[in-house]
Amino acid sequence: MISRVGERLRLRLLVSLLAVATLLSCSARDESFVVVYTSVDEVFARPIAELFEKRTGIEVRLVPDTEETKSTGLLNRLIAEKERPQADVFWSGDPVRAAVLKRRGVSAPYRPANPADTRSQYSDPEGHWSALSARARVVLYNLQAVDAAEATGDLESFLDPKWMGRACVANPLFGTTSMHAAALFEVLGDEQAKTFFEGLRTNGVHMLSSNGEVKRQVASGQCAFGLTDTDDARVAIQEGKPVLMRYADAGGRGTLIVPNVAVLIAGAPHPEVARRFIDFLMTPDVERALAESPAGQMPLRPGVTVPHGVDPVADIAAMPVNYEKLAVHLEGLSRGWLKEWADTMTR
Amino acid sequence: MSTAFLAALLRGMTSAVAVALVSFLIGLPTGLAIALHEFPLRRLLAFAIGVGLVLPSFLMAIGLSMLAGGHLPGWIGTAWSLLPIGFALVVFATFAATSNITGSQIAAARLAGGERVVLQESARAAWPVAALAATFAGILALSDAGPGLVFGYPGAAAEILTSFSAQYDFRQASRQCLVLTGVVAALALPCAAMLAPRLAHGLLARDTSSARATGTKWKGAEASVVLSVVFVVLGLPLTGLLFPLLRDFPIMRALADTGRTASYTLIYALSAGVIATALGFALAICARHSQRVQALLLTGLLILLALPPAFTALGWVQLATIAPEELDWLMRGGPLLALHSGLRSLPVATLFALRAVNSASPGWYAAAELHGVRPVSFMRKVLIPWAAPALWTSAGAVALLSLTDITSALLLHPPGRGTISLTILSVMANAPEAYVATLCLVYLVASLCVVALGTRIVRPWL
Repeated sequence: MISRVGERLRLRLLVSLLAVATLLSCSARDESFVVVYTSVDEVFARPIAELFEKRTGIEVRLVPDTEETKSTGLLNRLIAEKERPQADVFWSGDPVRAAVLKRRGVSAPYRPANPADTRSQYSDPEGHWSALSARARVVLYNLQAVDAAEATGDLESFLDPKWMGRACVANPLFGTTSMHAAALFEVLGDEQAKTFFEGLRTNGVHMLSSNGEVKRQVASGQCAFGLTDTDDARVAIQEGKPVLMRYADAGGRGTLIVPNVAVLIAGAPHPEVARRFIDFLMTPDVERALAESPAGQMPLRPGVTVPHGVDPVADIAAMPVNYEKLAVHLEGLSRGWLKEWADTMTR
Repeated sequence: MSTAFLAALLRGMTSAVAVALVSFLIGLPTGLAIALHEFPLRRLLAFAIGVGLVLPSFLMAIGLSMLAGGHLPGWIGTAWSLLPIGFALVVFATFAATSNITGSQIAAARLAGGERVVLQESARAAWPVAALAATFAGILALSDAGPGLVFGYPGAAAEILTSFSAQYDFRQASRQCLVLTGVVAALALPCAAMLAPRLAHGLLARDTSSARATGTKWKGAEASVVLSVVFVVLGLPLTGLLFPLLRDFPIMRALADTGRTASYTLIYALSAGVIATALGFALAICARHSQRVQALLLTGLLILLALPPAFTALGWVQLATIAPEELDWLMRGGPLLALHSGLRSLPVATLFALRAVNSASPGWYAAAELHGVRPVSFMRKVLIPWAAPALWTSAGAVALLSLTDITSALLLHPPGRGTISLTILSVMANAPEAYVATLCLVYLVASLCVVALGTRIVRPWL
């Protein structure tokens, strides 16, 4: 008898759990929340979302991406949801993915009243994305392997036989490294860029899965130096690793700047709150908060106070690139030469 | 098909075969030892093996990479990262298969020839299930892109991922999926045809009392061997992952982040476990009469398992987009994520169910038919109680496996309602290492607590 009662209780427990599952998954559609897909690391995006919630009372339902799984899942999810989107805003960590969305008709134009990118240098001229705080491409050096005087940020050092088998880059088919690869092709021209990439291969440069992995391998001394982003590099510095960061090619072709961008999704279910969120992202407070975060993102807006060690974008010699063209170039490269190059690196 | 894809397919097959083979070779004896013998730390070690089902392979890869870095050849690093899941699957499949051997059979074997005969006969009964679990593990490895990318040894799944994630070429990705499923089908069909008849195990008596030996002379050695295996398979990668805890331990922040997603994680996982187990049981009952149907079913399920989860998840996303808005609660809510994860793990649940259903005495069916017992009553009063250990093990294994499916969670979770493992993966690129390590530890401890609680609830059936 007792065991039967126990059995019933257990069955009820299971049924209740399923009922709770169903209830929790139901949601009413209203304007009290905004759905934000973001490829900015959650650890940096969530505090900003919480600040917006605190100021407006509007809930932010954040859908973060993961660099480590190499899924670039959110972009695919946005494209797949194009006909009836769930997302209101895509807060992208780089403008190239925003340009892909524009080309595929997933984004809608919106010009914030008070843009962070006051000179419209990094934003879409047609308003499909608006830029704010930026990262930059850097060379991260392990100071136990490289003398500080040799740490120049010059990409040619990746080709120096002295460092054969000691340098690393992330897979150029993904993330900001793909954008950097496309930028090099644009700035150097196809032939010179191909020679550069071939040089990386012959000099035994390691191709790793992500910028985070580059940071880990340099910080642990497995590689002497590697190409990564400012946010990865700053985290390693804050953790007390023996590393030094230099802007990539600052003395030559210029450093590739990777601004965050906010994109309004075409047919967004909550367009009003979506615009409010984008306007909020453009405020000096957000740029300041991102600069003060461990990522140390660099403000685009002049006059935003930054903590020690964070440079405003205006102070960096930037590589002159057109981000929309980069997106087109990248799609071609990813299907062609760059894919073949990446294949040879894994053989 | 490009040579690059074929080379990747070969790399993927190498890792998959290594995972399947090693999982089988170490998982079968470990599972038998845990099922048949009492030895020091037995329960603790069984829990530790369960950790393999909880941790996403990508975390294991990062842990190994932090520990051994460039010293490991790509295929070893990749296979090692995928091994904990395979090992756990084989151990628990062996455990479930051995649990269905009756106490009287084990006692008879023990009387006839001592522990050696018990082990021999139990291994003979359990190996087909263990072999299928190892095959599942190999195919899971084939569809997992993560570790291969970390160790510079990308397989076919990584190529497919590149096709639609970096090149946005869904047509090419579909073609590659087709080739992959063709290869899996060609390998799985003979394998399933060979193993399906051996899934049945004749039952002599209705005596399911525990027949675990308590005083074997080699219990100390057994504990040491199992401990060593668990340390190599799981301990080393975890050491790499948790090492930064020595520097810092930001527990409050980690608890806040995991707390936000804990309820959703639990609900998705449990729902996936229930869905897969119910469907697997239904399929096993339908396929009970024919070994050919069982072989075909197993082949189909192996093919299902081989599809990269991102690909099937995006298919669901597109389906949800064209579905009526009224169905959003289902198609864009937690139920879809649970369903997708459940379907993905359906092969595992079906394997457990097939073994349990096939092990039931044919006399029971005959007697029920003779006395006109309604099928529902027969199921409720005889078959389900008989299969309960396998069903509970299946539900638990699927629930844990679903936690590791980051890609499905990323693409299908309702906005703002993510899972713990997704949180870990989305912060780990740039969060301090100590914070990531603390998150992993909290996640591990929480998962094990849930497993322990679940075991207490279902103990009467085990």
